[in-house]
Amino acid sequence: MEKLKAMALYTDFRKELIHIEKELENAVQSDSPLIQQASMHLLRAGGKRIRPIFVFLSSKFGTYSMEQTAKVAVSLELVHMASLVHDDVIDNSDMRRSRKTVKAKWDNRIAMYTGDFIFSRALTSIGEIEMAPVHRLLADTMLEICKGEIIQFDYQRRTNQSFRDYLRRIKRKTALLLSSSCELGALISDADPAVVRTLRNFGYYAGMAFQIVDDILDFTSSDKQLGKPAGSDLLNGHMTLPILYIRNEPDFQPYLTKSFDGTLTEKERTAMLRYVRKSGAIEKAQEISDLYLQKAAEEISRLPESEAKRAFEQIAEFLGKRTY
Amino acid sequence: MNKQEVTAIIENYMKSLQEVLREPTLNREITDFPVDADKAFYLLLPLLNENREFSGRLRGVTLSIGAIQAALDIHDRIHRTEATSPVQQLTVLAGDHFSGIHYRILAETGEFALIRELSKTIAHINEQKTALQNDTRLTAERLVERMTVIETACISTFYSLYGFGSYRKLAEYALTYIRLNEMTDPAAVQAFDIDGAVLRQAIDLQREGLRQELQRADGLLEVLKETAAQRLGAFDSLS
Repeated sequence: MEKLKAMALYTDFRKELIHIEKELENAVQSDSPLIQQASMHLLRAGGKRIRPIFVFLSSKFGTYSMEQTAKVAVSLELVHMASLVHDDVIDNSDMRRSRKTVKAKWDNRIAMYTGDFIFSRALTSIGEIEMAPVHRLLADTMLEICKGEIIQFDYQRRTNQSFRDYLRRIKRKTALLLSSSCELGALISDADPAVVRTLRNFGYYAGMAFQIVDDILDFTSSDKQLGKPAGSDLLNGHMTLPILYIRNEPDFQPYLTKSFDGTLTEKERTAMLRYVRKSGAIEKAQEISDLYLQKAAEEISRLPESEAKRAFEQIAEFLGKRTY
Repeated sequence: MNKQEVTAIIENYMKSLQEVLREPTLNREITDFPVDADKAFYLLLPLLNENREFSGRLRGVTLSIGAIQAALDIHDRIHRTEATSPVQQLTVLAGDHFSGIHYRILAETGEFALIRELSKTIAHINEQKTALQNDTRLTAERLVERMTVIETACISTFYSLYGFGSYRKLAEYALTYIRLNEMTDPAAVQAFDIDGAVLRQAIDLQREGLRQELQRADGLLEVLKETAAQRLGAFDSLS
């Protein structure tokens, strides 16, 4: 049902979305049947395509060209896909979006090569655009995302991290790519610099809210809804916002210790999830997400009235309330 | 130009590349980034031979090629089935970080054509790696073909775009020959599991082609020929 709601938000952009899907399929065509199969496996698992949509909507605030915008949009989605394939190797994850991950279906090496292949296709797509600021922004974004992953590694299984550490981490992990999606869309259409700035800020705030909701859903959704075991973040050693609120509670400590040393049983996982859901941490985390959404809404309000503006408003609202 | 100068330029380049790739956590946990002296030598060969200054645009381009090569090479270190150790996790990220560095250098200098061409090359290399890993009927010829792409396609792309195409054959033969020989080392961790007999046949095939290329390399400075031959001589006699 939620997915249908998300799709309903996109109905005004059906033409663009169909174009994107086609271009994504074209982009992962390969002489290697295995790479193509692995890439298609990932592509068919779906996803919200939120990055391409942000690119498209942002580009409507300037001189819009579907062909040019699609190159950026495809590129950003491919960068995101490539990072997912590699993340699954790092986290040793077997399931994503209810499907086996590339590393689980084939092996780690195939996942590495598929990720590198998809990344190369992202550059092929955006390489058609000869605008230095576009490339500089995407390159810096990619490096920052990677830096965020390295920092996440450093913080893995560390309980003494601050809220600021967490926020910095999710900024790099998610918010930057969404912010850059908006900025790139605006840049490619030569939008007014003030509009570019507003869209960049909107993408950042929406991205922060999006990731916090994602971190909440990791505890509140079922395994089936998530397409992977609930609580995976904690089991992989990542302290997310809900956990930061309850990490020092004596009754929660055993779950934390066992999650981090890999000894949490299935029964204990269920109990841990129940504990988190009833602790009040979810509500506190939701409040922080709402603050970011409010900031995002403030940014949107500065944009000139248009169909794209209304779509951004609806999407922002959906991101905050989504349940998958 | 003498041998010491050639060595100094190569070492300087490798030092610059290590510097460009530097990242505190990665440097702390991964002690040896794959910055390869042979690849550095062949990458810079046209510049050395034609006495081109290693600065400005060409410096950026060659560092970018070195960065993407290191990115692709380091991902070969990921174990097929077990990659949960901290070093393996960071090795995944190291490759992604090096890829980002390569792109940022090219983005900063506005090398759009190279961004496009290299992206196609990276795709091709990964296709060949995947095929090699799953080729159940691998022949010596096919092994040579695949390893040539894997080892030299980035350098060849640079040669093609910057008017150094005449160096391509020599670099292809030499670098593939070197890698095939390294693949016979039982003490080294190997990226690909290749049948010993096929590997030996492939080396024989390459040796013959390499000998001919070296004989044809009339335009190469004597000191560069000697440097090339010296490295190749580490494996066996080509004469």
